[in-house]
Amino acid sequence: MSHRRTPTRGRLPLLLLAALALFQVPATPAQAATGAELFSGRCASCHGDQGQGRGSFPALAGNPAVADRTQVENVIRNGRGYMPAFPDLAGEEIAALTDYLVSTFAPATATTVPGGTVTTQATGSAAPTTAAGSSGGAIQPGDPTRGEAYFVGGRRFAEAGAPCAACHSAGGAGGLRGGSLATDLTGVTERFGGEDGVAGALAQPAFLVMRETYLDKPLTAQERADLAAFFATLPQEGAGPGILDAFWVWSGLAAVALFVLMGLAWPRRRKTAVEKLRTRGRGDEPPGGWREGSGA
Amino acid sequence: MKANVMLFAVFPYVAVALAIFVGAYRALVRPSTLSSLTTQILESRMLFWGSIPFHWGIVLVLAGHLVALVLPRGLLLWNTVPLRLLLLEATGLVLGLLALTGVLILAWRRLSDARVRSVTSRMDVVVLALLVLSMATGILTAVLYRYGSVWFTAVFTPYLWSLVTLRPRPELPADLPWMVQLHALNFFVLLAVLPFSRLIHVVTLPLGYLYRPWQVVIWQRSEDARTGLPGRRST
Repeated sequence: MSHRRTPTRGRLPLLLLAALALFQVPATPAQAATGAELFSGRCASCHGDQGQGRGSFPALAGNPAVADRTQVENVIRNGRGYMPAFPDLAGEEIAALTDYLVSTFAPATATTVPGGTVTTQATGSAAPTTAAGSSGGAIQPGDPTRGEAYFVGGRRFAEAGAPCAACHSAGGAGGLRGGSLATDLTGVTERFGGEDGVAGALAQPAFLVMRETYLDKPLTAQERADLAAFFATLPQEGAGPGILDAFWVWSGLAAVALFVLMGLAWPRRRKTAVEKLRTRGRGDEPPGGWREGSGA
Repeated sequence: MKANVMLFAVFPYVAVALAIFVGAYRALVRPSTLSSLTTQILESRMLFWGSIPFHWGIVLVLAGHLVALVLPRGLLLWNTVPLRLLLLEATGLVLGLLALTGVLILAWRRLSDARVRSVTSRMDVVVLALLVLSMATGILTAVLYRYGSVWFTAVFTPYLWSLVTLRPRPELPADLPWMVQLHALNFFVLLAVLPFSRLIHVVTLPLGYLYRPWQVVIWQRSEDARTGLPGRRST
């Protein structure tokens, strides 16, 4: 089990996957020995000792991209985004590590990927051997306009995941800047090595907060492609400080204004019985009858 | 047990249990103590400047949190238009600032006014400190980590419902910034001290007035009322 979380409903696919992964390790024991060592030495510090991912480091466990040997070797050799290349690894070491990664972490079939069922439906007749490489198979090419609508929330995700702009900004996208809980997504396409990288990272987002919040609300393959296409259209630099970066100043002014209004209300407020008695006692107000009643 | 499970899966239940059972015990055994223990008779000017903004702010902000919990989709729909999102966020922040200013004035009043201080218990000070913490962390969350009105529905709505349905998912808030976690935890701390403090007066909200039968009130009319000139001042 990857996250040591309490098993609850809806986690069954993940458990099955973990069980499958465990069963597959002894299948290639000779390679797995060195592969496992390499993994714990080179990969586990970022991707987690169970390949569960950490922070902005994507999960390897159950990641469809890990099923593609060529891609895995390529990423180890050349790095990707923030991930460094490992030029010091010899060819057979890379092969051993790739074997280990593919046998340990790749989803056995596309259907066992948590949240990946839509992918399976979308790719339809894709053969299991090519399923990972062809995740964009039967879906339409990403539409940046639709992607932007998903980003700002004008269009809802099929599984009701939160719109990206809840936490992320992306330049000046959407007229207003997006949220500031998470990082700005400017340049995300470069960081993740192209649109496919972005779409792949969204398939099983391993990032803080996203990992848990999209666990039961995965994005469909089409939504991921649309978002990736939208991110690819973003300018290289982020926008300057937006109008919203100062909205606390306006709010502070509004709060002060409300206090001023209260100040206007203070002399006109209903006086308590005690206050009336006091002022009457001082003789600066003429006697009047009781206005307070107990049955209001 | 991991700290996260302790704080976000166990403690909330402890806090709710304390609020319900100790609160019920207090209501049954010492019903006359379900009160805000007002000190208006001792000092009313600073109370006006503190209590009114504090209560308006806190009640409306809590109502906003409740809307996000009960009607997350409606809230998301509202927030799809950027101007509406901006209005909502700014309104929440204004109300939070009102509440914080109000509670700071109340704290100052409680400690500076000799008559009020003489009836102040240690728990009063604890409650005021918790309230200041709650509003300060809430305001900082709104300013630093916008847009809370959207991501609340993605993080805290499922988290709180997971508590309600007895399948807690403490992982949901686990990755949030500590400021946000503190804000959430502080709420449960307030819930836990509620039955032991004057905060219990939240249960005395006279909602019964909304649906009780009408009744005739006959006033002993005053000089002013008889002349039919309300607010008339004699010269």
